[in-house]
Amino acid sequence: MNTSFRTCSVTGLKIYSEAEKLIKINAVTSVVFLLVGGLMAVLIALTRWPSVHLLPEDLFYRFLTLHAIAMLIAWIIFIEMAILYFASAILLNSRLAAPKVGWLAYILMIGGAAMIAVTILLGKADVMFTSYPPLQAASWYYLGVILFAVGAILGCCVFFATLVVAKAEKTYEGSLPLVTFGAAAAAIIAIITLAHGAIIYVPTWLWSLGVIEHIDAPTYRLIWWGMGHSSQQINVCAMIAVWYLLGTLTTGAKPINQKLCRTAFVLYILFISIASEHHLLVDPGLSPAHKSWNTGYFIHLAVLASMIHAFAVPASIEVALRKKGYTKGLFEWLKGAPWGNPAFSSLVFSMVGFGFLGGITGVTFGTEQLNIISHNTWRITGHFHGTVVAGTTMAFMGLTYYVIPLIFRREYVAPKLAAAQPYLFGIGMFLVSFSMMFVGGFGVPRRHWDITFTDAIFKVSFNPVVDIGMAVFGIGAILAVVGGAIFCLQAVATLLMGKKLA
Amino acid sequence: MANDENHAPGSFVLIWIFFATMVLLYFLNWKYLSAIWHVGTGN
Repeated sequence: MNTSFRTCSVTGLKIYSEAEKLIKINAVTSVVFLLVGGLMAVLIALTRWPSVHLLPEDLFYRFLTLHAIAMLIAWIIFIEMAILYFASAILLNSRLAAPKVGWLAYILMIGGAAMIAVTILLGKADVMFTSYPPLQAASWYYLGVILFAVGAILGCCVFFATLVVAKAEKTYEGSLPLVTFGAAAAAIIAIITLAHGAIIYVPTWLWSLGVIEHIDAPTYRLIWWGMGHSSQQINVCAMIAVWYLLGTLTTGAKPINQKLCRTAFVLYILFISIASEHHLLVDPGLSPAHKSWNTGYFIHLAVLASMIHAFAVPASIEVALRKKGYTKGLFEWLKGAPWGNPAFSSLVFSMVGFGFLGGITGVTFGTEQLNIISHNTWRITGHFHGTVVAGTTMAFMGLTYYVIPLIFRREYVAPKLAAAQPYLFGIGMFLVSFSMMFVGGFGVPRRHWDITFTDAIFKVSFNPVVDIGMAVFGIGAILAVVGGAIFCLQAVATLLMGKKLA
Repeated sequence: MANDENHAPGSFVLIWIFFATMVLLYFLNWKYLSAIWHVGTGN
């Protein structure tokens, strides 16, 4: 058992080498997939923008599938593995329990992700992220997803085992830090999520092999979304844990009420699977009453958790900045905040993007009665680009501005560019998300190669203001891709050429 | 929430802006729905 460690010269935390290696490999892999997903993003964005309409039809759907997998599965879950190892081993000053299992988890995840990506690029899995039957991909696609999921479950198990080891070896005092608690909530939801995934992907894989004759489409949707939406709540829990961490790192903020914040994480665990029903609102198999109870009432218990964090995080930052002397009026603390620190600006963009663009729209679009004017329109896509991209991705980007100096021990090669990057990406994504929802309100569909329906037997036209909306989308997408590319290239350049820190 | 140690009046205002935005978006969506999908006897 390798128990060698170093002591971080900045934080004083013990960093065990096995944990450090696993954090590094998962973080680097996540950025590689972010680059792949970003490349796909610019290609499909320039196709959806009718004035450009770049790709042919088959490549659009292929690259859209790969974009979703690279971003929603690979980028996000690899970096969440890094976050889990960080939140357990590093924050608790502990050795990692079972590092060999951690490496097995990584191998399964990278093998699964590669299998999925290659199958898609070979044109054998043009099934979109949801892969709804009767659409059928090659069996390698489903096997890749299963392997990835098994790897992720193993990574979560290593996280939980490390919590046990840390407690047993008394490497920390008192309760788990709030960030670790939030990461634990994310890992618990991950187990629930991946169990749903196993229940549905294993029979679907067998169906693709011809072992099972038929997969019931509505049943698939029900169980798939038990995995699909819960997987987004893993992202929410991890993102909010990162918010608290970034608040502390950038401003010295401390949680204003530990019990309240922890209760909010528990509400997520209890109510998010129920809330997944908003994906099934036009499905015939569930009654309107069932849909209304889940999406009109129960979801608000999960929303309550979000409202608690929406106050607690900025409040903790405000308290910290007021203690530093920014006490004039209501908002001097905002003016005096470290806006030049890319971790802080990423944090703010993340909170505003997730809350205003993604969160509010998600709760309204997911209401049973209101969904019918949003379903399958670009309003939905705009909503989740607000939550997952402007929200979660920006929070994780912000975290890397500390991970690279503290874990990789490299100084950023272009600090001024790093300071500007969150603004480029954030403003770009705000434009993307808002314009998608704007044009979606006029009926522009999601997941369609040609919104002008050129070859349709009847004429389709939208309100002319949609053309302006699509142009804003195109510009926002280019800005966001430039911001994302700067992030990835900066990270790579820093790891290769950045000045080594002590 | 407003004791001396955790005094966050700015955030308190921000959260109300957030809540008001949610109420407004709900209202606008219900209004939009009512304009498209009429309920009643149609007389």
